Amino acid sequence: MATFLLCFAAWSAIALGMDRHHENATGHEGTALRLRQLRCAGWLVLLFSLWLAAHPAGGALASLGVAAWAAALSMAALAVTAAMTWRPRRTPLLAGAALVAGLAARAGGW
Amino acid sequence: MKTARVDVRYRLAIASRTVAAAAGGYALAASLAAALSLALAPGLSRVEAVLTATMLAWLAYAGAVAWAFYARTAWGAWGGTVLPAMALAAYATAPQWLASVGSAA
Amino acid sequence: MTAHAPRCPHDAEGTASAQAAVPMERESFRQAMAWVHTWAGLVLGWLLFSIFLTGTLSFFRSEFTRWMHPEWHGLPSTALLANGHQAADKALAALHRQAPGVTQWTLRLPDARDPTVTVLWRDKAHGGLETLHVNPQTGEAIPARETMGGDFFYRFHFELRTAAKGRWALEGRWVVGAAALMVLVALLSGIVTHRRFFKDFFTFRPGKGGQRAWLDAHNVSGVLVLPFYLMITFSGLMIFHTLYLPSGIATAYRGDKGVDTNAYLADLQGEKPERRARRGPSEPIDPLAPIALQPILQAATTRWEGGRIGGVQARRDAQGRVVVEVSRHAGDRLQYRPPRLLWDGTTGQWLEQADPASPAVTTYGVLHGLHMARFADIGLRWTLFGFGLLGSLMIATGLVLWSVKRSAKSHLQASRQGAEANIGKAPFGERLVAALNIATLAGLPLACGVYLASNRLIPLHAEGRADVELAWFFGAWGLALLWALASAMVRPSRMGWSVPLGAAALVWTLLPLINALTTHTHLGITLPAREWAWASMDLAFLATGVLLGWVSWRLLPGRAPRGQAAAAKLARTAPAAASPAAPCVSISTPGT
Repeated sequence: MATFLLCFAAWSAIALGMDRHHENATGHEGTALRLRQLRCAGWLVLLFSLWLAAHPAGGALASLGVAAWAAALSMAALAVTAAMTWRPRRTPLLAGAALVAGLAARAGGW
Repeated sequence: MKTARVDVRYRLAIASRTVAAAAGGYALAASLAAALSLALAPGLSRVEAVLTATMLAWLAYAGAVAWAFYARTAWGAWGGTVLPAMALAAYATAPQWLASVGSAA
Repeated sequence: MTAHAPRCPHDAEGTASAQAAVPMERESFRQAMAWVHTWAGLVLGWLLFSIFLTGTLSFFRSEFTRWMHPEWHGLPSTALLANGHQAADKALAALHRQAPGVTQWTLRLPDARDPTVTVLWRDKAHGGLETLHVNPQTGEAIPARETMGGDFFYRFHFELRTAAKGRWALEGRWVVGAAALMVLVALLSGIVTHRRFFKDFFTFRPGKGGQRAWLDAHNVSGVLVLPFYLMITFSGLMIFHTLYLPSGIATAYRGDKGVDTNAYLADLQGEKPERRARRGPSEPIDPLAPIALQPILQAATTRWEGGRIGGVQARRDAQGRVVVEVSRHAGDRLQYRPPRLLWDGTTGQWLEQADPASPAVTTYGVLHGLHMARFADIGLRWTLFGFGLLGSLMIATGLVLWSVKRSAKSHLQASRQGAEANIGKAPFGERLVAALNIATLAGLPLACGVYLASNRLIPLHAEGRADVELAWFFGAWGLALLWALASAMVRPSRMGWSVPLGAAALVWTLLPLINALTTHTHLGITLPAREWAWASMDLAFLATGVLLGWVSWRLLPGRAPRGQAAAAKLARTAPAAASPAAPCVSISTPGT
């Protein structure tokens, strides 16, 4: 669960770092710097989520964690596409919530 | 005028390329798997060599299909698949006909 | 025979004769791969959809098998079973009573997904492998209806099985292999062709309607789940590599007496060649004596430090020695097969562990394991199921997109040609594709629902019951084909899609009700008892029916032409509704 939430936050950042989606979500164009920052942040969170997945809590196999991460990666991308299609203005908020929830879930051992 | 019928030459070329892709591609994949298994076997264990070669051979098959439809002509499609396949097959079966030549001598 | 690859696939038909005369500029790799993608996808598209959909259902193979054996309801769950090892003893004792001359047996212990002990065995009287499901507490066979259960979806998926004891398994596997290769080609060519891979990553515009919406759906379902599709396809090809591409084995394992396949398979499994089962028809195999399993299973659990046991097998090896092989549960790691421990069945002496560890064999094992998904817990299993559905949807959208584009193009040409053109009758090829689309994309879901319903409706003791269920499945599919041919070719009608989809919706929605009328495992009992293993199936069937019903309703001819409904599903009345901006379109960006 934590993996999915973090991936959702990461993909959202990457999506919001694209011209078209940034406009849909915020209503105005983002500066080149802003967009790049968002994309960078997104990729970093993505890599972080992979690292977390490869170090699962409770002694589970790392390979199983990485397989689950790969699945969460696609699921989260689909979820972000859905969000950007039907609730673009809410997406930044959803992304932030997902980031917090993801970290909390990880801390809580999910 | 109804939708113009595609001329026979075009259809024949497509058919030729398709056969080159399917059969020629398989020949290339199979011969690559054989040749690479033989080449890797001294360095790796036999099963390692065979698996590595076979996995790569599937990618070669896909590449052969792509080539068959990218080549400038249908003949080129055949050439690009069958010629390498024959060369690889020769390499892969070399031990066998060398052995039979040796035993005949 | 030297014609150039067409610059624009859709214009090729109209201008081929002109092009043959004028030397053409070489089209780009991307354009060539766009052509390959379209045709690789189309030629076997209906077969690919069938393989993909039944494969997706196979993720829940054990669950389907259990639902289709309502007689298994009431078996103790593994949590309640005090000792799973005792189940093995009981089952073996019962087996020896029933088949004293047994020469080889395998027991699969009960787990969360399958509450029975599965017994597979051979003896002198039965040449082939017999299967039996027994009660874990008594070891006795459970009197249950004869059915293939979820194994039908599984076997149809990789060998196009059409009967309980199919005889065309080899041919079926070849066809599936060819289809799998087409998928690989379609995926790779699709990647090369998709020009705005990253720009369109999150782009889905259902509101735009027509081709754009369908193309977006195809791209999104294709790109975002690409790792899964590539993995599933490549691993599928590798699983049967000994059948499809044995030349490597034939070269590296060639000896004086021909190819030593046994040695290769032994190396692949990480076992000694002489430990493998002796299977020569001319070699007499002595029956096995009953074996005390408790000490062996206990020793296995100790060696694996508490790891779960999946099953245990006994056989005679190449030297006639009795070998007992204990397998770990396949769900404990990615790599398939799981590690196995071997003991001498007569003396109880420890022999060795069979578990390959070298890089290429491990890679192959992980690929195999990813495909089989034994490692997946319930959440991950549903996720993989969802990816499989999306893959089926991707194939479906591709097929429909081809139809929509072609139909739009021919309408454009027909309207250009004026009143003499017969707008109502599209070319034969297009109508055939339209018919096959309906027959497969709507017909297969209908057939699957009918198969499940047949499990409840066919009398319990009917002769050859398992095959009768399959007859219902193929009969329903055949009816859908007849309807499709009638509605798309003979008398084009826009009810073509709604009727079979509506029928499918009806069947799936009624499944929980049929269940209630014929068994004691229906929602009225399983929901209050919180037996989610049973209830979730009925609920999922209900949800499937509702979803199919929604799609069927959206596609009814009376619906507003805005959006996907009219434009997408073979609109034959208003060319304007579906015509693209430009006649020559590439896969990724029509008209841009």
